[in-house]
Amino acid sequence: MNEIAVSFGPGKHLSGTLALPDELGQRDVGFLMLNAGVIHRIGPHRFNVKLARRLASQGWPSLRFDLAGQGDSDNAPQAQPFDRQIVADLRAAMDHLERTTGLKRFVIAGICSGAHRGLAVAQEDERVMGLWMLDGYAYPSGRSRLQRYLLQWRRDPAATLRAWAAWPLRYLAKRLSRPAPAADGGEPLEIDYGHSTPAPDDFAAMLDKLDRRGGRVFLMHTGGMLWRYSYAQQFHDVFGDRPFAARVRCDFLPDIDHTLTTLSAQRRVIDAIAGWAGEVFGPQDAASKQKPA
Amino acid sequence: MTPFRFGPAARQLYGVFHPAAPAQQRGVAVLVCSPFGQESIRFHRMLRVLSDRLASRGIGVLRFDYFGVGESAGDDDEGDLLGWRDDVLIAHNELLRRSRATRVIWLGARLGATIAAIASSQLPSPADRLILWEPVADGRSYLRELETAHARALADAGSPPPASTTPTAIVDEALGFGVSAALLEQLGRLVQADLEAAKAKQVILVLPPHQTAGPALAQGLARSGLQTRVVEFSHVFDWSSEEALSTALVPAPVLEMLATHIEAASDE
Repeated sequence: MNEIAVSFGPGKHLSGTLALPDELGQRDVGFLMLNAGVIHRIGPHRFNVKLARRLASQGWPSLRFDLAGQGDSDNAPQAQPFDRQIVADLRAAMDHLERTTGLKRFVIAGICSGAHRGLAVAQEDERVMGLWMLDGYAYPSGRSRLQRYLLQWRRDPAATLRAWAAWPLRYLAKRLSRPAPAADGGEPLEIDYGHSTPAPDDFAAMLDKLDRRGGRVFLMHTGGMLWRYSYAQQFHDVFGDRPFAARVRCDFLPDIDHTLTTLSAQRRVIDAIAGWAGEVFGPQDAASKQKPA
Repeated sequence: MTPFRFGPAARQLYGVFHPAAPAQQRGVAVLVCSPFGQESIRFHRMLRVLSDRLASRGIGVLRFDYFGVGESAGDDDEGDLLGWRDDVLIAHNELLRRSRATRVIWLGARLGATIAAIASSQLPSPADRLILWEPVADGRSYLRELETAHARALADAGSPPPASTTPTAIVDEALGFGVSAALLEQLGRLVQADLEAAKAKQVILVLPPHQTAGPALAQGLARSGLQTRVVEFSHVFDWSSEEALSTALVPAPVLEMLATHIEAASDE
């Protein structure tokens, strides 16, 4: 395994680390890893480094990098709006991995906001053929709503009773109040930090688009998402009637936390990703071998 | 800003060099010795902003990851204090080569300050200035701090069953990072006298007010012949909090404090 510090993108403003297996050409997909929230590219508890090294030991090259303005990356020379810049940065990372390894198909491994970024770029760049999303988007089912109420009740019955008693009042207050209008008289201002959750149908359409071109998705939900994702079959209860659902792997890991704080959690997740990659992307066949540039 | 790898082939280190703005060159450079584990992640953005600022004012900076840490080669459990001490010396030579500075200031935070002090004792001539922010002078106390933070992190993580907040002894991991047996043993033996062996023309000791061990450390350094100045700094930096929580990454008082002391030292 060889790790190389690289700068790439317009103006070389992006900073990353290539992790290359001893022998290129064993696999025909490469992995990309990026920031999780505000953490630089090593990931929470150095998870991205550990994942990249494991993947390289099994023949998969990867590029872990910092988005513009984060970690060791500079701002883009001609910065775009936040969401557009992220897509541009991820595409620049794919360009770089393609140039250095000859690969043309990529998996984006993202945690939390990193998972959201991966899904966004998969809509725009057909080179994205796989997504691993840890605690990305989650959608409730009837059972998960009930479990949420029960969880709340078990944790603090008195507070839960008070909250339930206040529901009618809150509902009424919401009906009567309206968000403040914008100063320019435009749409009311609401704070969503620019990351509103897509509607279930929109999310399904995004997964469907990836599925139709042969892409594969591995969703993982930890105990840190328990309020929104609370049992193993939840994804399939919500999306099970969609054509792509049977090909989406969705693991529920309630005993693991959102940032993989224990070494055993890190090992378990890395094992799962490496196993999934081997199953769905397998060894490269001779006909499709890419020559490194 | 230039990211690069350096050091022996079997011990490749990751570094980022921030060259001094050519028009502002002061002939001074700063070597940053980062804290350990989660504290290092917590401090990363702070260092990036500080380094950019210093470079723009004519002071080159090298920040780097020790072996087995961050982007450097090696696994978590391959790190230890003696190896990291030697990494600092390699980084010092790399900084001299890249910056062509005639004076070098070492900035260390938490365990990084301790490693800096220990490493300076190996220099052929004293470091121009050591700025040590909340150095770890008692390894056993530090291990207890890590144990408490580790237990709290697991309890706060939110996944059932709720973890106990009662600290248990660190065996091989702390706050998500592997810890080697050698490091545990070295921390268990780490005492103030190890820092008193530092070799520097001046030491600036940045401590929180009323820290009980602070005066003893300052006196110990002074007794060892080190010109020592104590700076009381009341801002509480949230060293080990989970990075995803909404605490300030780059608190203005910390940035000002560090930049002010480094720039003042570079002007002397």
